[in-house]
Amino acid sequence: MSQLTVSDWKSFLEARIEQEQGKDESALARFESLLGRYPDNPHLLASRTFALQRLGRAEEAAASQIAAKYAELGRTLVGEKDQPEVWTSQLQATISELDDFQKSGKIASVLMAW
Amino acid sequence: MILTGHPALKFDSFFPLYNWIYPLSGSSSARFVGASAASALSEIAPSGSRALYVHIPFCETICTFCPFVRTATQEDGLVQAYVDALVQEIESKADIGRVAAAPIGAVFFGGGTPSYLSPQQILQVGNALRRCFDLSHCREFSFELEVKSASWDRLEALKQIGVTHARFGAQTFSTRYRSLFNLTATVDQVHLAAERLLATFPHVSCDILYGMHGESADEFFDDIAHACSLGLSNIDFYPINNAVTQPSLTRGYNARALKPTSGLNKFYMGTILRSAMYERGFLPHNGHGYVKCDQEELIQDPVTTESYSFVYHEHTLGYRDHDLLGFGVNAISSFAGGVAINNASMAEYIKSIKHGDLSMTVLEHSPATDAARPLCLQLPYHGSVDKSDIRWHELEPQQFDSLARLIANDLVVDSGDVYRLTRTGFHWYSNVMFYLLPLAEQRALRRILARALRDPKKSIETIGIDPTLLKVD
Repeated sequence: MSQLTVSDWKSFLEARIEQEQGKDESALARFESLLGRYPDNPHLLASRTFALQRLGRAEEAAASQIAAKYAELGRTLVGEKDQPEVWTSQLQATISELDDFQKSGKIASVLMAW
Repeated sequence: MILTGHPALKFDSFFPLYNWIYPLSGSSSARFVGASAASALSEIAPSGSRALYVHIPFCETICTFCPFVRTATQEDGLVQAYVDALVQEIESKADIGRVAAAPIGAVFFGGGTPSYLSPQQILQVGNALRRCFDLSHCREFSFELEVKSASWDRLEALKQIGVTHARFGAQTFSTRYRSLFNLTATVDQVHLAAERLLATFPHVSCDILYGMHGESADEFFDDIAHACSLGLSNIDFYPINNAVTQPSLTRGYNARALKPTSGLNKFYMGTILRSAMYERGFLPHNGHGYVKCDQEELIQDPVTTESYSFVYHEHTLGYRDHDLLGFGVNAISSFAGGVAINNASMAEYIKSIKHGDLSMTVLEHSPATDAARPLCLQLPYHGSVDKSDIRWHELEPQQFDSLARLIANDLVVDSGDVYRLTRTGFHWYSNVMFYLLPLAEQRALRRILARALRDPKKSIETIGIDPTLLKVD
């Protein structure tokens, strides 16, 4: 996972501040632009999901959240951890999260809290 | 506060206090009460290293972000009476065998504004310390200055008493926040003071605040660049603690319709700060402090550098067998088993000292509270702790669980004889600190936060606070 440059971090912070000012469309555009360069960055993915959710695009937010989870599994389940049973259990947890979302309309508690 | 398992957002919430005094949970002593309270000092446990803190509570003007005990005064007579009382307190405490026996590792003049003192008064207090305590092992002698008072005659007095580390508060270079904070020095005066201090002392540092209400990314980055342009070896960056700022700051924010910066954005500012400072050749040496490093160390890029330490904070934030002896109005002495707080009233402090009484209130705490210091303070704040410095058998059971969860969530790593923060753990350090605290300390902090949140004169970031944090038993 490549680290954001300082100028990209600044752009991210500007978007986060916009998000807190309610300018979610503009913030989302910046997150998506940055994701073009850092596709697996978990901070960008989480912020994008949050922006989608605030814009009422819940289905896309859920898809974004699941994609972020899948990217994280791809990043962490390597070497000795790259086992079929580990993937199966982790993917099941991810699917279960999606089910929860469909029932409750809420994504992950972590994102709701912020 | 729970760990989420999320790769970026490690906690489900944040705790909107970013530094605090430890311990807070002591109970009023039944043994050391009233006139006999000072006898607690004659039973003080042996210390591996002691820091001396001297409180100078005077200021020319009151800065609106400042939580400390101070008073704006122009009364020279009062200042001199206070200095005389301080000298008497220093002499009285040094006469207590156990107090004088510990090696002195650090001296810190804080306030208020220590540089409010005249050169003669600085010499009077500093020479009393040198006369009464053995400072031959002192590794750091700090003195805080307000930039307008950095006159050559004062700096000469500071050199004479042995000051090695000059510290001043720039806080921000933004015109609007300098006005909101009631900072009366001009930016040119900040530069002039920095030049003079750099010409006089081996170490010079300044404080910068971030995460103010309505702060923009440009303002944040401008402050970083401007602070670095001063040519200092050290810069300390603090997220503003809205729970302890002054009502006038809240009024100023409200008048400009500025909303609190959220805890998450403060977290991101801290994360970004590390990258921005690294780019300028600095590494963190604790949760707030950055120091200029050589190229070799920058290439290694440790989570926190071990090439520099803020020695005073070793004593106040967690090193085993380190303690603190305070002098002055409301000054705190913190030692194994107890905390002694000097009289909070200026008039009563001066009066009692004149009569030969060391008037103080003593709070006692459990051995477990002291045993926890290296784990819950040193590890999160300084970045690592030797396992041998933790008295494991005295910890609370939940602290073992908390540590195991932090390791499982990639915030702390077990490196054989040492626990270290990971890079991610460093960014979350104030949450990690809270998470590892003994339960009584967590409750005490919750109470402080709950009180602040109910106070209409405070404006605190509330987005993302876990409601259970506010539930006080």
